[in-house]
Amino acid sequence: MIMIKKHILLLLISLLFFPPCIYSLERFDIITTADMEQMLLDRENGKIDFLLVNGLDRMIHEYAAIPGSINIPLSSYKKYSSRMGSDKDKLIITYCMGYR
Amino acid sequence: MAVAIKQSGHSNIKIYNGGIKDWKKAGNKVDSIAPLPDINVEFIDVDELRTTLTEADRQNCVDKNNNPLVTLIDFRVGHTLQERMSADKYQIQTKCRTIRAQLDDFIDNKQLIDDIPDTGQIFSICETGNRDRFLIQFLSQHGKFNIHGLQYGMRAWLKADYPVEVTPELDTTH
Repeated sequence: MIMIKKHILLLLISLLFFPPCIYSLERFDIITTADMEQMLLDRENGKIDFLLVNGLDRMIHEYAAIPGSINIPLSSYKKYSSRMGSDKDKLIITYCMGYR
Repeated sequence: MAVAIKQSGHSNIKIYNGGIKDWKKAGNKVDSIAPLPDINVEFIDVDELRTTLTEADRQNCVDKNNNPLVTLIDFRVGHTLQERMSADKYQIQTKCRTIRAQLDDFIDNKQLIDDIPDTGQIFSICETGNRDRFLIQFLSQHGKFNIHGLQYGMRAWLKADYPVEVTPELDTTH
């Protein structure tokens, strides 16, 4: 019992050193292709507003991108992240190639 | 990407998981402001590359006229320092030259493109082999045709447990 408590304590202490990594444990809502199609239509009709952002390399974005997308190459995120504007509560939908 | 956006203070984020792949598969249109030539892209498998590099290394990777036998283009540069310290910490070990750059570095960079030799074999290396075709098709527009991708990318090389070395700029032992 004491050993278990020690292990739990060690785990909790180790988490203090990895707060940035906790973001990687985040779970985000996933939307389907049908959802995406509807949302883009609704945006066009003024029913909703959101930013559609991809993290593709610029070369790949310029080759093929979902219409109405903003490109923020992940390799240059800090340089281009201002393209998302200052509204931190605005809905952002992000996508990439669909495979690594 | 979603994690990076979250880290920069945005709170309302969703992911369209299917990406470009599923969007196109569903028959939807895509914007294409810089199309790439639809040339056939060829790949080499990891065992063939290993054999090719072993043979080239025996000759110090130059022919009798001192031209390079093989050049690698490694465009796997990690997006964050954390990535760079893991997957990109190692590169293929070889005496042959490795050009390291990001995919977008080749855009509007004539010097980088000119730096790719016109002799010998050229192999492009990315993480999984999925981005090679973009680089190869792009470079074909600039007169570089002798490039093959590594099938399944650096992951295949690592999985095969073939020789690697610490990426020079990350070598902290010196």
